[in-house]
Amino acid sequence: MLMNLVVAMFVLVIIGAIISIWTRDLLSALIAMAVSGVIRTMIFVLLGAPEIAIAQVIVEVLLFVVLVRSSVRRELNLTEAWRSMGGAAVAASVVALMLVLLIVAFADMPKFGQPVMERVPGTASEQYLIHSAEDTGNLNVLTAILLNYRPLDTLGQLAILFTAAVGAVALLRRKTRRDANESNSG
Amino acid sequence: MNQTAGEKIAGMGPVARSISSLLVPFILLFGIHMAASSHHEPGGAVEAGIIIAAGYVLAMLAFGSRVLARPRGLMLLTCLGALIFIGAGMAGMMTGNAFLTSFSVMNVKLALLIEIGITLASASALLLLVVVMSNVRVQPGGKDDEFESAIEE
Repeated sequence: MLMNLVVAMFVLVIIGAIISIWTRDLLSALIAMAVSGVIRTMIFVLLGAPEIAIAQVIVEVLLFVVLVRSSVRRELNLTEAWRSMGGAAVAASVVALMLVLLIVAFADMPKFGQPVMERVPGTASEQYLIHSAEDTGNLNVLTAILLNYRPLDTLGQLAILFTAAVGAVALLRRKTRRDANESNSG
Repeated sequence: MNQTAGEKIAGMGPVARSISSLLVPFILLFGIHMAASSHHEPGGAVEAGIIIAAGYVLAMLAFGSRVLARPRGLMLLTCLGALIFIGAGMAGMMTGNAFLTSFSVMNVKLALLIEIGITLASASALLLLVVVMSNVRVQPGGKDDEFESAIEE
C-alpha cells in the first residue's frame, strides 16, 4: 500500500520535472519544480524521515524559488531550435549507459526499507544510533552528529555559505563614488 | 557606472500586506523555535536560518523597500554568527581540549550557543545573497549608498 503510494508520487515528481523542462515561462518552470519538490517532501514524510523532509522543503521549495526568482532578472530567451542530431545521439547513449550501470548497481542494494546496519554489523550509523543520546544528551541523532560528533563538517558548511555571501557582495556591489571618480578622471 | 542603478521595490497591494503582516511574525517565531528545539525535534540551525530569511523576504516583497535590510548590517550579522561558532570552538581549547571538541561532552548550553551562531550566520548570509543579487535599492538617505549592488544590464 505504502509502496504503491510512493511509486505514484514518484510518477508525479517525474511529470513535474518534465513540465518544468518543457514550459517556456521561467516562473511556470519554477513552480513546477517547487511542486515536484513538495511531492518529494511528502514522500520523505511518508517514509518516516522528517528531518530530510524539512531540508527538502527548505532547500528545494523556499531557497530555490526565492534565489532564482530574485537573481534572474528577465525572462530567459529560450531557443526553439532543436539541438544537432550528433549531440542528441551522444546524450542518448550516455543516458543508456548510465541506466545499465544503475540497474547493475541497484541489484546489489539492500531491499527497500532495510537499514544498512542489518547487512553490515558494526557500522558507524549503528554506533551513532545506540550511543548518541547518552553521549551528547541530544534526542535528535542528526543534530548530535552535526554538532557533537562532526562539528568540523558543520564548520565547513558554514564556511561555504559565508564565502558565497561575501563573494557575492564583493562581485555584485556597486562601485564606490571614489572609484567612479578615479575612473572618470583617469 | 550609473549611480542611480538599482530599483526600489514598490510593495504589493493591501491584501498581500495584511496577509503577510499576519504571517511573518509566525514564520519568524517558527524559525526561532526550530533553532532552539533542534536538540529534541527534527530540524536544524541552517534550516531555521533559511526559514527566518524567507520570512524576511516575504516582508520585503509585501512592504517594499521600507523594510529592506542594509547589506552592511547583514555582513556584520553574518560575521557575528561565524565568530560565535569559531569562538565556541575556541572555548574548548581554553579548557585544554582540541578545537571544536568542547561540546562532545554533555554541554547543551554551549551547543545552543553554536546553534544560535549558525542560525544567525545562515539567515543573514542568505538574506544578503537575496538583497545583493536582486539588485534592489536601499531607501535613499542611508549611509550605505556606496555599498548597494548594481548589475549593469
